Amino acid sequence: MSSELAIETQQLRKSFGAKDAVQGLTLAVPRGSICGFLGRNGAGKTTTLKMLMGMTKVTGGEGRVLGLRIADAGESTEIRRRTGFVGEDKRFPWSITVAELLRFTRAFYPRWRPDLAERYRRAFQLPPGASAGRLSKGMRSRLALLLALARGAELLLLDEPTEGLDPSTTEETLQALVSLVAEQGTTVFFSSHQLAGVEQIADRICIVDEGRTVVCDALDELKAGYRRVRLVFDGEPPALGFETARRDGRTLSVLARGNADEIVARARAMNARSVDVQPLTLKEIFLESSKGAES
Amino acid sequence: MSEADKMLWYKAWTETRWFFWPGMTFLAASGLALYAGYPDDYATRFPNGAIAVSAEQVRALLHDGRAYIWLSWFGTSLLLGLSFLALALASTGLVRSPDSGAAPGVTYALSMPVSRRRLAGVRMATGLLELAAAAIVSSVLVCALAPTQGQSFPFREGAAHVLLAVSGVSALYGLFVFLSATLGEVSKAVAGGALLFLYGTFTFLTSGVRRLSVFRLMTGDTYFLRGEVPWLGVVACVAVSAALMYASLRVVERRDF
Repeated sequence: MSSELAIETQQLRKSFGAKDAVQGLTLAVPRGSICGFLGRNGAGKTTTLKMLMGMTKVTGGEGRVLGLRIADAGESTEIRRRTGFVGEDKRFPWSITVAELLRFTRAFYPRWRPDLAERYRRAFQLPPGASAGRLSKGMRSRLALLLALARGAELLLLDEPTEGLDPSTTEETLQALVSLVAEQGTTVFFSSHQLAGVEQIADRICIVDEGRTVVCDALDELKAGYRRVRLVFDGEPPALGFETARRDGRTLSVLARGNADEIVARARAMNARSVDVQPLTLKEIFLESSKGAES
Repeated sequence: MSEADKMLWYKAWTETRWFFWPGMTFLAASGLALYAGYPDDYATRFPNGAIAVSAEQVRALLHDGRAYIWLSWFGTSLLLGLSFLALALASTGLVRSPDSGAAPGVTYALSMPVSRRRLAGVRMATGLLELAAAAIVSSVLVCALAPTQGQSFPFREGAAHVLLAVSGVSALYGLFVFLSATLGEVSKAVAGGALLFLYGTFTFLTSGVRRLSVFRLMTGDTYFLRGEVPWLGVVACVAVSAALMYASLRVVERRDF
C-alpha cells in the first residue's frame, strides 16, 4: 500500500448480520486532496467512514488511513489522533457546555489550534456557556465542524458536514476546508448530498453504490470522460449498439464513458443529421453512475 | 496524570454529576429526616420488620436509638438510595438504545484518540467512586448528628457499615452496567429493576439462601448483631462487580457504533 495515499482500501467489507452494508469497497485518496464521497442513502458511506475511524469493525478486506491499519486497535487510536472527524450523529451530551467540550477535546490533540478554534467559534456564533446537547441541529453541525477543524489534523473525515447549515455558513465551511488544504496540506474526505458544494471544492470524487465503488477518480478526469452525445437522424434512429442510449423520436441520446469519439464516428457512419457532444455536470454523472443499481 | 486523562475523568464527572448530586442530596436529606422525625417509641416504626430483620427481631432490637439508626439508615434508607443511584449512574454508559446504538456524544467520544476500554473504564470507575462518596458523606452526617438526639453511633462502626453497603452496591452497579452495555435504554431499566426485585425478594424471603442476599450484606446485620464483618460476602460482591464490569468492557470493545 502506498504512503502517498491518505486513505486506501481494498475489497473492504462490512456485514450486519445477513445485510451487506459494504461489499468490496476499493478506494484510493491521495494526500492533500479534497475528495467528495458520494452515494445514495444506504450506499455504505457512513459505514465506510466509521470503519476508517475504528468505530465499526471490519468484516473483510483491508484498509489503511495515513498508512496505518484500520483493523488494528493500537494503530486505529493513532489514526484518531491524526484525524478530525464529523460523524453522521452530531448529538452531544446536554450535560457539557461548548467551552467544556473545547477544553476536553484540546487535551487530546498536541497540534490543537486555539486560534482556529476561537476564530470558528466566533464565526459560527457558538456561545461558550451553552449546553452542547441543547444546541439546534445547525448549531450542532457548526460545533462538530469547529471541533474537527481545530484539531490540527492531517486528515478530515466528514460525514455530511454541512447538514443543517444555512447557505452562508455552508459557503464559509467550504472555504475553510479549502484554506486548510492550501495552508496545511490537510486531506479532506467528505460525504455530501449537496453536489454543487462538492463540485465547488473537490478535486477528486468517489461514488459508491450498494457498498461497492462505482467510480473513484480525479474530478477533471471524471468530467472529461463523461459526455452526453445527442444524435438526430432523418428517420427512425438506428441501433448503434450502446447500452447507454436512449431514444426519443428521431433523437438518440447516448451517455459516453470515455468513448465519445467512437460514438460520434459510428453515428456519422450511420448518416446522423446532427451530432452534439455536451459535458455532464457532477450531478448528472452521479445520477448516471448510481442508475445501474436502481433498475 | 496527563491532561488527557484528567479530561477523561472530568468529562465522566460532567456526564454523571446530574445523577450524583440529586442522589447525594436525597441521601443527605434522608439522613437529616432520620433525626427530624425522631420517634418516642422506636418499636412502632417497623411494625412489619425491615430488610433482613423480622418483626420479632425488630421488637427485640429496638430498645435503643443505636439500633433504630442502624435499621433506619444502614438497613433501609442508605441501602435503597444507593441501589437506585447505582441504577441511574449505570444508565449514563456508552450504549443508549439498540436502534441508535450510542448515547448522545458517544460517537464524538469514540472519535478521540482513546481506547474504548479506557473510555468506558473511566466512566464505570467514576460511577463507583460517586457511589462510595454518596455513602460516606451521608453516613458521616448520620453518625455526626446522632448526639443531637442523645444517641451515639461511632464513626468506626459507621465505616464498617459503609464498607458493606458500598461492596454490596458495587455488585448491583456491575449488574446494571452490564445490562446497560448489552441491552437498550428502556429494556435495561425494566430488566435491571425486575431482576433486582426478584433476586432481592427471593433471597430475602427464602431462609435457606438468605445469606446470599446482597441486600442482607448491605444492611450489615451480622456486623451490627454479632460484630462480625462478612468478608466472604464483601470479597464475593467485589469479585462479581469486577467480573461484570470486565464483561461490559469486552462487550463495548466488540460493539459496532
